[in-house]
Amino acid sequence: MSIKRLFVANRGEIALRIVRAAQSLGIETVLAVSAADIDSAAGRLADRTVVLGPPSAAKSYLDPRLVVHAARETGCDGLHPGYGFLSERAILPRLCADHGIAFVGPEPDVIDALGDKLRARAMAHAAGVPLVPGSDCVATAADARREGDRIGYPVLLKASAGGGGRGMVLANNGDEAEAGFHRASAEAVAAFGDGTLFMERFVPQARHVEVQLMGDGKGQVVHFGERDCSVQRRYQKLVEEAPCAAMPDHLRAQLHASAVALAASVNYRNAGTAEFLFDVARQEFYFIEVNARIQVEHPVSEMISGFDLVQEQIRIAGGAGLSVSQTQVKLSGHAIECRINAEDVARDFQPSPGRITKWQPPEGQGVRLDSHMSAGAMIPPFYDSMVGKLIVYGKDRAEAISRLAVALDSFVVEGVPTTIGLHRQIVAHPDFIENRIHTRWLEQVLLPQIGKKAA
Amino acid sequence: MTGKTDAAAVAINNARALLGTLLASSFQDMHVVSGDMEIFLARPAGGANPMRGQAAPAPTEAAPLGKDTLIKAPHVATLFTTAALGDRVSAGQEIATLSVLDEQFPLLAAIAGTIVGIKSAVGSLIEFDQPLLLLRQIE
Repeated sequence: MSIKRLFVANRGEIALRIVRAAQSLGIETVLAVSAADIDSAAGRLADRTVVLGPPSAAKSYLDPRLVVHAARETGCDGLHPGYGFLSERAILPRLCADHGIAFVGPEPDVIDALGDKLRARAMAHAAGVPLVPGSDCVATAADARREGDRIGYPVLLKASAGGGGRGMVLANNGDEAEAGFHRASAEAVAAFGDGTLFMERFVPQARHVEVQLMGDGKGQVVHFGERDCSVQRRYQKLVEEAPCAAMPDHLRAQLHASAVALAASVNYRNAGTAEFLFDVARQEFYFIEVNARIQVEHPVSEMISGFDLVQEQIRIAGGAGLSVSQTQVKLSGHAIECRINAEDVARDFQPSPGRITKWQPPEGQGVRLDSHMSAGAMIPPFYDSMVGKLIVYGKDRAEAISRLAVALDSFVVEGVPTTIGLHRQIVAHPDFIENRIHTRWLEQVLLPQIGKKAA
Repeated sequence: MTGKTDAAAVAINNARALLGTLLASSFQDMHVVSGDMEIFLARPAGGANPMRGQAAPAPTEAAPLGKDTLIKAPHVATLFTTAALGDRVSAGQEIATLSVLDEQFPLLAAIAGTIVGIKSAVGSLIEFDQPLLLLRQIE
């Protein structure tokens, strides 16, 4: 029943990570590549590679029929989608099921349900998971004031038919809610032909926290603690840590219980992450969404639990139950991950593909590097620009930060610009050291400071 | 195809993929230098082409037109059928059938010619760019 030969439908560092995990379990691997990735670290390690198509992702990694055909014809009985690409497209597990291949991930119907924001919210609500406080439709300015008073300010007035920020007004008190109603409603009529509004609490300084989950598909779900991913730029995470040191233990226990209850309510199978907004001022958390895949930042949870999540994914897809119970998951210490991208920070984070001429990764106690790069390796311009993830572990957050600072200082990459320098500035900043960050901190505080210094 | 047109095919594939990347992004222009390839793409509001004004490369000799065209796989598939050695085909005629998850579709000849080589076995898994057939152009 367990998987004998695994098809790896991804590229970059996660493809290498999956190939290694499979090999540790004694499983053969076949790696899908595009013409741009024929020579890659994962390809050299895999038992076989199959060239799907040209460099364009749409004609290679993103074509589910080509992926499943290649898997079937190379005799694979399992398929790991990694993250990104087709990992959360229900068509991939459906095609796998049609052709007798075990998909390393959730059931396709669960992927579909979680991918629909309204359905996911309804599922969370049914499982007793807190949602951002909000209103139904508000019809008048007086309603807007009454609902605003009930929800608590600041609130956002949003167009029901809206999107892209149009018809959206922020109100800090009852008077602004009344005035904002007229403005938002008029904007909504102009933009969408429909002035219907609803209201939602606005959290100006929120943290992004998320719970790592693993389910057996039969209602058993264990969690591997939470991660704090509040250092973001344009909703892209740059730094992730585990645990969320800013969260008190009683809230942490509620967070874990909420996430587990939601996953158990849909008999969630394999790895997933429940994402939440943490309102530090109010000491409340609200559900955002579930990501039905392994995530980029899974290593920090592995570091504090000592548990290999990717190996567990492959075992579960092969029909095994969970290999640990919740009481056997022991979380200790603190881990931080920096996503290193080949981007030019000075030029608005422009992706900078090219050839790595020098690659001198850091070493030392508690240092882990998940990367597919080496000197001479090529970063093709067709895909994301991540060159690796630097992960450090310490007995507490302070030790993890000091190890991270040392590791970043000794990390040398030449040939392409990278975000290593930015990570050094993040890690050295008093707000980061004293853990006063939020999801807009990088854009509102750090980047303007760097810009001023540079000017 | 000769070695020269192979490089051209690669360049076209690369340019297509870059165009897709540019259109999916918020960038106004894109300048990529990679090995011996250099591509500049811009939207109407994009910057000036940095390749203009550079010294023009010395003109290279025109590649001799190959009489034999190597037909390659457009993507991974199973080779279902092929034309037989010696078959004469006209432009637009089916010269092979590919199969992806048991769905078949034809591979058509771009030019008229005679099949002078079969490079992959029927029933085998073929990968992107793998040689399938050799087609000799009819004069």
